[in-house]
Amino acid sequence: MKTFIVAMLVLIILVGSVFSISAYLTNVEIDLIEIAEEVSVFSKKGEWDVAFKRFEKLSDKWDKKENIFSVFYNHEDLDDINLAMGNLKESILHNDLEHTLKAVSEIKILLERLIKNESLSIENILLAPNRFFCHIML
Amino acid sequence: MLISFLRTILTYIFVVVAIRVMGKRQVGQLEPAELVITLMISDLATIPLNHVSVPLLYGVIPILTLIIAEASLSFIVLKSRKFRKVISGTPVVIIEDGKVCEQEMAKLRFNFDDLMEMLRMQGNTDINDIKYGILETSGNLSVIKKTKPKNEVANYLGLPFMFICDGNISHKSLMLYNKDEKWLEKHLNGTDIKDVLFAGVDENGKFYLQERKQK
Repeated sequence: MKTFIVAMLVLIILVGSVFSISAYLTNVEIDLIEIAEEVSVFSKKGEWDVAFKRFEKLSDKWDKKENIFSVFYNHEDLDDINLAMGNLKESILHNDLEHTLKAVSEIKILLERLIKNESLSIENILLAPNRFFCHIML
Repeated sequence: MLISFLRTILTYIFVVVAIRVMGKRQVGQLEPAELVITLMISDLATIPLNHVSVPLLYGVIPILTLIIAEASLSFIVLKSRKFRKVISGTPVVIIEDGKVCEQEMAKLRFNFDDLMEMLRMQGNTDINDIKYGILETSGNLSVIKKTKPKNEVANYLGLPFMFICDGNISHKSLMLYNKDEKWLEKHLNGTDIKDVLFAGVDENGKFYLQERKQK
């Protein structure tokens, strides 16, 4: 009986934690997507200095949260995002609009994929989660 | 490599705790559900060990979930005899009075060579000496040998019988023993059936019972 009660308590804590952490990570990912979108907007306007500042904000936030992400996500997925961040930085520094928009799109897709792969859906339960390979885009 | 080493140590400690929580049984005595859990845990534990890019939680959370499932199932099986039969199955008599029950063996997909092997391993070389051979839910074979009768009842049956198990009457056992509930209640000496953990007769026909512990 004791084991059963402890098991139920652990279950409640586990499920509660999973939902809370999932919600927190989703919020962080949404914030990152919004900042990435800002980079895209300012790049299109030709305001490269502002775009670079937005990128720095994006990069700082990503660096702060990456350790937390690495506990819950496959490291290969996170490496893909790091690679895209590197490409974005170079594109902005070189004022290359085409590659900047590609890199932003890549980052957004990768982050959206992280959200989608962790969401509760029949697709995720029955099928394998989708993986995005950077080398296909570049 | 150091990461791999540390992950292995952590996973090992976690799996040992998990198996410990499941209880002490040798592999050969595991019920089907427990065997499944053990196999799954061993497989899941290797996932983060083989792929360093996979977070350790990808192994820990599934194992934890399996432990919770096992603890819940064990609790339900403990409380419900019907559910126990569904999950664990029931023991099957495959040898009766020196004769092999071919129909039961066919149902279990248990061949004669396997049966003889199990009998030999227990030191039983002659099927004619065996009163009952029961294939337990764990896959082990229990053998009850023919005994010399000591009294009238044992002359007829010569076997122990359990009439009450976990507060429930086994009407089948009573029927086999040619007795009824009135006879059983008389032997309980006023104890309520629900308060009896088990009650039956031994191979000499002597009645015994054990009451539930008072809470």
